[in-house]
Amino acid sequence: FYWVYAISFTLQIYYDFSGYSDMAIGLGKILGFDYPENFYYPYISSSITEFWRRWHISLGSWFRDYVYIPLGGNRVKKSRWIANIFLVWMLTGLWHGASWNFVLWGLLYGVLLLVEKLFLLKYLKKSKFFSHIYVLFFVVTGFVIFQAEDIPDAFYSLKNMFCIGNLSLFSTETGYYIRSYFVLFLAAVLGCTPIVKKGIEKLCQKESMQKVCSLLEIPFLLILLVLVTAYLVDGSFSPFLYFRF
Amino acid sequence: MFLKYKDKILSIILFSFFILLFVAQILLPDKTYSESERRFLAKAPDFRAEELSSGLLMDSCEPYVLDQFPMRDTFRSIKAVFEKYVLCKMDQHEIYEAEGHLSKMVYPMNETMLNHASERFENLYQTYLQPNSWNPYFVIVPDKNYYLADSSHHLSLSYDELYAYMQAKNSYMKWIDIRDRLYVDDYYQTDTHWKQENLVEIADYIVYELTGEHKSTSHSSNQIYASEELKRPFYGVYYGQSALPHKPDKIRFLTNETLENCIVTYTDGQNNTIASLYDMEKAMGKDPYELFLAGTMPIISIDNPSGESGRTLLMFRDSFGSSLAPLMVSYYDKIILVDIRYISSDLLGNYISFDKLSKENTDVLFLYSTLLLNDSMSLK
Repeated sequence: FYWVYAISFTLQIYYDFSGYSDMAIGLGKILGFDYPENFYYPYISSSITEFWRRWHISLGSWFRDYVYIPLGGNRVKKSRWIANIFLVWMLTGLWHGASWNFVLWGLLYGVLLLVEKLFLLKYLKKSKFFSHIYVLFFVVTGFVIFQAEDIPDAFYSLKNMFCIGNLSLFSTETGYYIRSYFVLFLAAVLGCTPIVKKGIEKLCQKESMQKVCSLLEIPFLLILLVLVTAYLVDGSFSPFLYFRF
Repeated sequence: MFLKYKDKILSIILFSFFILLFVAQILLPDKTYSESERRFLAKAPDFRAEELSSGLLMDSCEPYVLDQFPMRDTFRSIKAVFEKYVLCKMDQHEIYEAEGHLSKMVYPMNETMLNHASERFENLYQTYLQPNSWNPYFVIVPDKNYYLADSSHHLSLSYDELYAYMQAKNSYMKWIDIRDRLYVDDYYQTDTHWKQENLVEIADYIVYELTGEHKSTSHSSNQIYASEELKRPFYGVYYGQSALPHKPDKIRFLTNETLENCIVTYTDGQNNTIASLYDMEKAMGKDPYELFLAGTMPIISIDNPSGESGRTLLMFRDSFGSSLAPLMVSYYDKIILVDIRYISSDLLGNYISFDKLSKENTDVLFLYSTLLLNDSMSLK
């Protein structure tokens, strides 16, 4: 059950935050500003290093430019370089909230990035499949720590994810929610990849399809507008997860 | 030509959508009540400078804007239909459709609530029943989920476990199990409640268990009751909650000379009102099911002038008892219905003279649905 919850939260936080960023980019364009992309399909990454070049790009860039590089970056002796990495990632965690679970989340990535830089990266390049599994495993686990109330809550969730706790791995509820949300789940996973976008672009590049694509764009966007309005009207107020950040 | 101006056309359509909705929200009068959702809608917040600066004004604006959104019910239906038929989601706000019925998932079993209900029942027993040596009977009315959840693969509590738990907690009561005597079509398709016209045999069975007296098992509602139908369609509580398109129900009620001659007295704690078994005014109100014994009344007394049994029935009940009680009238001289959701158990002695009821000729029945027992905080 916890895995379903953790994977669902991983998808939710991506759509919540990248959607929020896309709204800002779109509103900026209306007003004549061009903001850079903040998310670039982070869940297709094959290393944690790559993940942080695709996730919350503005945050990573800021810490790199204003903390990591001024501290010397990797152009210092090894012990100082390791300290720089841990300091940057501890601060990245703290930036998300004044709570130890965020610090732990940040430090987790500090450890992973260090391990990759020291030796793991060359092994990850050998198998795309295993490197994707490795990234998604730690991203999902990391988000379990991220969304916990506190450290004990985080460890309680992790224990149950790895079958050490009291909750079973699969229950009647798990089966029901997987069945009920399967289509949405599938759509959400596909949306995390560039498959759909590239597929549509490829299709619409064909001369015979250009007119059709242009004609379908208006009704498609209108249907989308009606649907998001319908969801807004039906649901209670649901602030963006990253709003407080 | 169209393609050349496509982006401009799209921009105009999108902005027109926003502007039209904005203007409609301002110009249309605010609604106070939602018929489909059976609740009062948020009112416009009072503008105060300190609330604006603290952010509280926006907090109260949010529910107001959502509740008064133009074409709110249409948008809710669009969402429900999209979720059901495109996303293949199995429920909408825990309401699902199966075998033509709308039902609510009841899950999981809530022992805290069952304990609370049992504690309230024991209080009634110790205070009013045991001193008169009355031994109560208990009927738990299964909700529709009992009949639909397994076959439609929806979440459901274990009803066997719930029944066993309540039996163990209320061991001083005798149990009348009606689960196998009901079918899902004995309930309204869009509502939680059961249909009165399908309850004649249930009423006879319960009375038989209470008194040992029974009528011929071959009789049907047509033989002893006339059936009348409300002209108004009945959109039950699940209809509004699910927002799915669904044909409405029809409410039928049973009557005969005995029922028409009954004298019904409602006690709301302050006044006694003389009325009839079926309240036509309430039938035209926000919940047509309130036709049966005027809906939410703390204490109702039904006197049967043509009663010859000399017996009285004291029924502690929820809304399911409203449609069942008229079908038990012919067996009793008097039926007293008590709903402890609307009156504290401790105050009952002020309104019912328990000591004046016959010790030998009074039957006591607790009739509650699984829905209420699993969420019993309203029991006082």
